[in-house]
Amino acid sequence: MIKLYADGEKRVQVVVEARRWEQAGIVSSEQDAAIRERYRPQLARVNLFIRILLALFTAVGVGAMVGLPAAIFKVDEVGLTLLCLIFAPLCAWTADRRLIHDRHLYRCGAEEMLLFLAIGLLALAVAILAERGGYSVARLGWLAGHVIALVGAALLAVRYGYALAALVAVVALGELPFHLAEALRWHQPGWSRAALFLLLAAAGIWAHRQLGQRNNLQRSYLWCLETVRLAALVGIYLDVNLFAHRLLWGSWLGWTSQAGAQSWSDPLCAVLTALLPVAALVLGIVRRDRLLLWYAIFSGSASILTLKYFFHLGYLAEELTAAGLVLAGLAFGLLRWLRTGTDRRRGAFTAEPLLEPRLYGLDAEALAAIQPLAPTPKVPATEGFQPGGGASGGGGASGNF
Amino acid sequence: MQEALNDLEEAGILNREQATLLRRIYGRELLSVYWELRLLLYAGILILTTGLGLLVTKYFASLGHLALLAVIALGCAGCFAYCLRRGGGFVAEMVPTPNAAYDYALLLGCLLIGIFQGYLELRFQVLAHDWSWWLLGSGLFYLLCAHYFDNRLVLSLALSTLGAWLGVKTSFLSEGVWGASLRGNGLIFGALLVAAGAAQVRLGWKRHFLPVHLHLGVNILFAALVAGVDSRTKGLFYLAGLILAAAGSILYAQRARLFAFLLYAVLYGYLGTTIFVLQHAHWQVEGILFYFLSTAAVLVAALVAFHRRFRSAE
Repeated sequence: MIKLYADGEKRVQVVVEARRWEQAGIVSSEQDAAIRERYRPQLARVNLFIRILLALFTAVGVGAMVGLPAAIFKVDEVGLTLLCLIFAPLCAWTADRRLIHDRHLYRCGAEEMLLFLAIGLLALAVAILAERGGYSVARLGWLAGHVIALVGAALLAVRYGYALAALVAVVALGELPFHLAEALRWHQPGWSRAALFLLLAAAGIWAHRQLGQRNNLQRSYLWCLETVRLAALVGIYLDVNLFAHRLLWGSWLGWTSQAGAQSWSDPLCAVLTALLPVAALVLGIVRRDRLLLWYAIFSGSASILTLKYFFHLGYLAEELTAAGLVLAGLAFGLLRWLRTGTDRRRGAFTAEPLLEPRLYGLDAEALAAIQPLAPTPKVPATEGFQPGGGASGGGGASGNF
Repeated sequence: MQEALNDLEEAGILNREQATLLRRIYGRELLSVYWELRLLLYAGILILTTGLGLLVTKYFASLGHLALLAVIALGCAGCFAYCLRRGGGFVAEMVPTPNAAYDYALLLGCLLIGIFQGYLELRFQVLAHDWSWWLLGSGLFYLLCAHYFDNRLVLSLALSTLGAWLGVKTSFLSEGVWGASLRGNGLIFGALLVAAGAAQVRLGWKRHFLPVHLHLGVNILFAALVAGVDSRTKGLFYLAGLILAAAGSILYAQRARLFAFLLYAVLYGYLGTTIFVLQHAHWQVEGILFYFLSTAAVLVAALVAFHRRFRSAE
């Protein structure tokens, strides 16, 4: 990761986390202000919604900027390739030098979008140029564009720690076997699916192993690795779940389900559809891993509903009613069990909110409830703290750019 | 984080108790499954009510109608009895929820009412062609429940049911997804939601319902205004209304520091303006591209200025 981000991210993390502590009622607003003053980030950040708008209008602007000369000069494929090749490094340079290094922008939308556009334009340049060479060359050209997108996204994730780039990289990796098979005219969807499974499994295991040393990882890398692992798990689940398999590969992609030819894989898929949520749940509990627990809940619910495509257990109405009763009963039982434990917890687990985010429309009232585990916020003594000093204090850069 | 926590404790910003708790949380010695269990409960109730709905349609021919209705009514009554027993009655202010199951029992009760009404209409065709009045009735009942039991989840259900009633009612009269009458209903409904939220805040009555009112109301209002911009006769009025609403939304975003309303204002405003401009100015491709280039540059500059002025990240 670039030095600017590696050095500045810790401060951002402390400030962001301090806001959560304050919202959760663990620290007072005065303490939050003191933490923000001590750890004032040197990186310029914007609000999430402004970030989205900046990214969107940067994309609109760059798209129009590339399209305008193309429309005025009525360029052909070569001209368009040249334009893409001119604008791709220009976008990357503007983002990296002018916005990130000069203005210290950090997750502001504009610089992120410029970097993504740089990769996209480069991939597009190769693919458009290949269109001139006939059908076979065009296929290889788009494959080369795909590889450029994959490598570029991975580079963005490594250099800038963008979780979205990590997601793009995993998606591109997942699509690679299919694209490769299409480019080589090797129509064997079953083998492509097997390759997809192996690739995603390798990516997921690698990310999971890296996450074992999470205390030594940068905040951005942590997010990237979590994204890679989650995306790989979701991809594997969609690959092995027969209902998703038929929906995705059969209906959306227009591939006929070669049931007879692939029947050997169905029992394996059934076992994995049932096992993946259970394995994620066990691993999530053992390693106290929130994302694995979320994955277990979603994939478990999906497995309950879709296992009928492997084994006919009964009719949909009865299945849904029974599954709903089991899930609601399980959740209710767990809530009661956790609440009756010592300090309202069992082992490391509690059903009380600690640093949980406010989510509109779900159960926001409960967040305002008294939290028995949170100590009473206390305003620090004035003589005990001198803002701006100390080994990691100081700063002085503002949140502006 | 452990390093920062040590530093903050040494500097006297965090007391020992706070630092210890945070160390336990970041060290994963303490993990809250607060949302996970609620998500499981919510998913269970949704799946259960879907299954019950399917069961009703499947067995209504073989079982006695009254028996089925009685079972649903009993379940519904049980949920409401639980909430009435556990809840503290109507209070104008925000009330802490007695326990985690309370909110979801209320939600289940409300959804069972929907199934009950659906079954009644399906079997007995009580209101026949005027069945959409069930939506109005249940919407108003949900609204009452949301206020009495102080529940924002049910408030969202109430408002969306009322919105559906308006939508369903007009879809019989007009064609097209956003026909003139539906646009009108959308405008009235959106404005009413915003006004109701503002009135509640002014009266000091369930002030915490404001975000639900505003997010839904503003989106419906903007969608209706954008849909009307391409109208041949009244397009300009809709555009003027859209710009006024966007200005109000931006002002609110700035004052309340809720920048989601800035996002709504800019996105809907830009979309509506672009539709209007492209419809009325018959430009070549170059002109259109120049429009996008110049507007994007202006908006990026304006957003940066807005951020600098109001320090949006803090």
